[in-house]
Amino acid sequence: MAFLPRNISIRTKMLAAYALLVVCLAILGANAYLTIANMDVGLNRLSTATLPKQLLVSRLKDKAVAAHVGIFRYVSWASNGVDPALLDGVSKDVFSDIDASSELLSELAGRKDLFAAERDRIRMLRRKWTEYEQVARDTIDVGSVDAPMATMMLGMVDDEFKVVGENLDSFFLHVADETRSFTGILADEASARKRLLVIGGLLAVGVSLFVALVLSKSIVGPIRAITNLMQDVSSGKLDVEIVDSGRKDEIGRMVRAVAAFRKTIERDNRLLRAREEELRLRNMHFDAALKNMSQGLNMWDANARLMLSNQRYFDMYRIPPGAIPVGMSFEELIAYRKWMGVDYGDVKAFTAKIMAALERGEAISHYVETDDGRVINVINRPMPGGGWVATHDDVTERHRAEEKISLMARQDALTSLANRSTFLEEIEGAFSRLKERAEPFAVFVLDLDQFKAVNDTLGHPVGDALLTAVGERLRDCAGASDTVARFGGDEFAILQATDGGAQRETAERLAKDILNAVNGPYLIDGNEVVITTSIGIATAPEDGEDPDQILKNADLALYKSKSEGRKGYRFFDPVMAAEMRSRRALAADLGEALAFEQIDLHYQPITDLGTGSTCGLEALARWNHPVHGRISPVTFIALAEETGMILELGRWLLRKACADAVTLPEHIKMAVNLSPVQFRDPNLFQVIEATLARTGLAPERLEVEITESVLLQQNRENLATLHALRDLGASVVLDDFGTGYSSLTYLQEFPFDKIKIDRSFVSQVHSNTDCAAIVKAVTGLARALKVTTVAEGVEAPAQLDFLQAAGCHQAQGYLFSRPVPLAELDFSLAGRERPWTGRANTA
Amino acid sequence: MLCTIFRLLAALFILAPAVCQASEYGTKQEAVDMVKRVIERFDRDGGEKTFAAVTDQSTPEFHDRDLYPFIYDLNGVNVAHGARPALVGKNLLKLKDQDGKYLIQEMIDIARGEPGHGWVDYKWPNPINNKIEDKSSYIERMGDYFVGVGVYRF
Repeated sequence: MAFLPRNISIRTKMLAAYALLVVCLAILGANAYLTIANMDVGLNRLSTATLPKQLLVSRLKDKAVAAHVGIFRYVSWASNGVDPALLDGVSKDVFSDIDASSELLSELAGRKDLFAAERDRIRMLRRKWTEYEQVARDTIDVGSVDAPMATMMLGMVDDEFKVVGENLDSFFLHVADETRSFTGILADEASARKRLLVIGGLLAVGVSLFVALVLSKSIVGPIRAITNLMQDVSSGKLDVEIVDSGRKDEIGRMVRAVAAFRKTIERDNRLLRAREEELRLRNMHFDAALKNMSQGLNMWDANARLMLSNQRYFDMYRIPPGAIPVGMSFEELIAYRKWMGVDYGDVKAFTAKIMAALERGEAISHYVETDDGRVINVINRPMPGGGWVATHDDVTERHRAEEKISLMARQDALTSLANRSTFLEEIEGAFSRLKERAEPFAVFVLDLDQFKAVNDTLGHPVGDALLTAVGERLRDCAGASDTVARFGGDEFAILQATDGGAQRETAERLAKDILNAVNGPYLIDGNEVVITTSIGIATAPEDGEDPDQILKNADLALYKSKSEGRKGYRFFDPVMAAEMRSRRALAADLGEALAFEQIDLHYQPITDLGTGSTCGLEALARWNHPVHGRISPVTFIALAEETGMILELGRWLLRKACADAVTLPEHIKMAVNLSPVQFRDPNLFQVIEATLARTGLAPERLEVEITESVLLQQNRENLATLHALRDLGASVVLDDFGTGYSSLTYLQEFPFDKIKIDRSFVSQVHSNTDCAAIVKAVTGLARALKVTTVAEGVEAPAQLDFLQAAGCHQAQGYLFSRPVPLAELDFSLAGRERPWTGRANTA
Repeated sequence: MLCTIFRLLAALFILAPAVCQASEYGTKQEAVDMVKRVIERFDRDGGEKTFAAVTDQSTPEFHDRDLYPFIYDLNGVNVAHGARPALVGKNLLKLKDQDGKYLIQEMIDIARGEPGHGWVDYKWPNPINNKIEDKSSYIERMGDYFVGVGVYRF
């Protein structure tokens, strides 16, 4: 339809068409209604007004004629002398007819639907009728007595009746005429409306046909085409041609929608293919992961039905294939596994517990032990959207490792004895038993004397074997209810439970047993090793109220035992604590001593036995305590070593000694003791070098005295330092030779310039043949190694003689001079032949 | 019965004039005289008594053979009738005789006109035989009325 705009929407078109139809129908309906209403009014009027009027007039005429005829009959009968009774009847009839006519006339006049003209006519009619009635009555009246006169009067009556009749006819004609004209108008109107109805109906039919035609052509056709397109597209035929005619109404929109729909489907198809591929790959990966994962896996759906299990799961539990099919319920599976021998307890209770946790959204795990002793950790993790995944992890190794670790946490790995923390727990337990049952106990703390030397000389494997052996012996000595622990290194501890007797005696017995047992020789890898131990003992409740205190006190007792020469045991004594306190106080004082120059250096000359003259000096520190007076070097040097103050003290001492040495004759060498602790200072060599440079002392004039223990610890680094010193030009002297664990290997390890024979040998050269032998052996050895020997602590001329005889090169001691301040040194004695005179001088 | 009475009365009237007068029928002069007597009586006694006397059959001065007076008002209403008392009170304005003559209207026309008296010829039942005969009546106005007396045999 070219004239139907395509850009107006179908809705608007339909609405317009329907509106047009409605207008047509409304006009038709209104017309029909008006027609019928008019007819209704007309018929109503006919039936209620016009016809009744005509009827009335007709009846009136009948009555009037009847009356009129009656009058004539009466007068006629009266003239002929009829029986007065009959006449009376006639006159009554006449009067009743007259009355009836009058009434009808009144009724006619009283009608409300009269027109003005009708009213006038009726008024006239009534007047005429009244006149007629008067005349009629007069005539009857006269007739009753005077018939001839009444006959005379009949003409008059007839005249009047004629007038009445004329009027009546006229009125009747008028009414009839009115009815006729009225019905004629109605008929005209009806026929006019009939024409209108026919034309309107035809118009409505035409409009309907037109609209239907237009709609079918402009809507139904395109829609059918679009429907075919949609069928094609939805059946997958996407290559159909979709022509967009550019219409802007619903049809145009539908065409574009179909085009867009096709595009969407094409895109979706592409996406779907891509996603299928992705899914396939993912499934492949998932399969591969399931097959290759180290864990067994079950997947359960929201109804607790098995969805899948991997092969590993079946292998792990040696479940025959097919025994656990997909779709099996969780409870059935657990029941089956229980039948297979896994201890799940009550199946229902077990599954209920798992399900409850999963419903809370929590993962829940449990361990399953297989009949071949493996431990499987099963973790049930809820999946989003219901169901869960159970993973089965073989944790046998981990389980064992954990068990081992927990054991190790309590045990010393080397000896399998209790470790420190376990031991502390045991002491705690002992304290609670003490509180509850008043059971006393004793705590032993032990360490091996010179264990480090064993380690260093024989190697760590031997050291470890020795520790293990010591542990076994301790274990043997201790009672069944006693706890033996190793704290690490060569430190051991024993918690001795009561045997019902006096704790101190019980402890003493054990201490002696231990000394006997531990101090015996060991045969390790073919080496016979001798070791001694020192023991500190504290007893509860006397020596402590808590584990820390009692251990500390036992340590104090051990310290005391060691400081008293080892190889023994000591019970804790409150005095020890006091001593410890005073040592601490002294250590604090020592810090100040350096600052306030309470420490001074004294020098003990070293005499060359060949020339008899002083060839060197040994620098020795002296501390004049403001309260306690002179403090023994043994005490405060040890204190300085313990507190680490030895580093500062050592530097100061070195600096002072070097500075003093510069002021002395050039042939005098200066010997300075270096503590093993000082060797922990990595800058020791640099310090010495710098000190020499600063003081201007030639390195050749410096002698460094060390003890064997320097070589016992950190051997490599210390040897390097010593070599460096030697390379610098300084001499290195081995002090206190023979006292320590000492071995001749040290002499081989480092080319010492000088060996100092310990005063303990020198003092006994005459009373102890062993000592004499040792001195001789040492001097001989030194001579063979071309190492200078010096003896210390020479106090008697006989000792000097022996030493000279043994071939000792140098000597020092009170025989020559006690250590003196720098100012008191006197080198004038150089070349004196009898050194003891010097002793006399100083005495 | 009424016929019988009328006949008796007629016999009396016939007998009386026969005694007094020689003629069987009244003359026009006698009619005029009777009118004059009525007017005289009317003037003397007034309407009421005159009308009663006229209507009363036993009043001899107003009843003489076929002569009798009749009085109408000017609207045609009979107020007194010497022969047919039934007519008293009736409006006979539109009364016609057999020839279709409106006799009362003519009488009123004469009474209203000049000189107020005259003659009217018409047909009227004769009271003696009750036959309709030609009649000629003298009419004369009398106040608001007119009075007439007619003769049959003229």
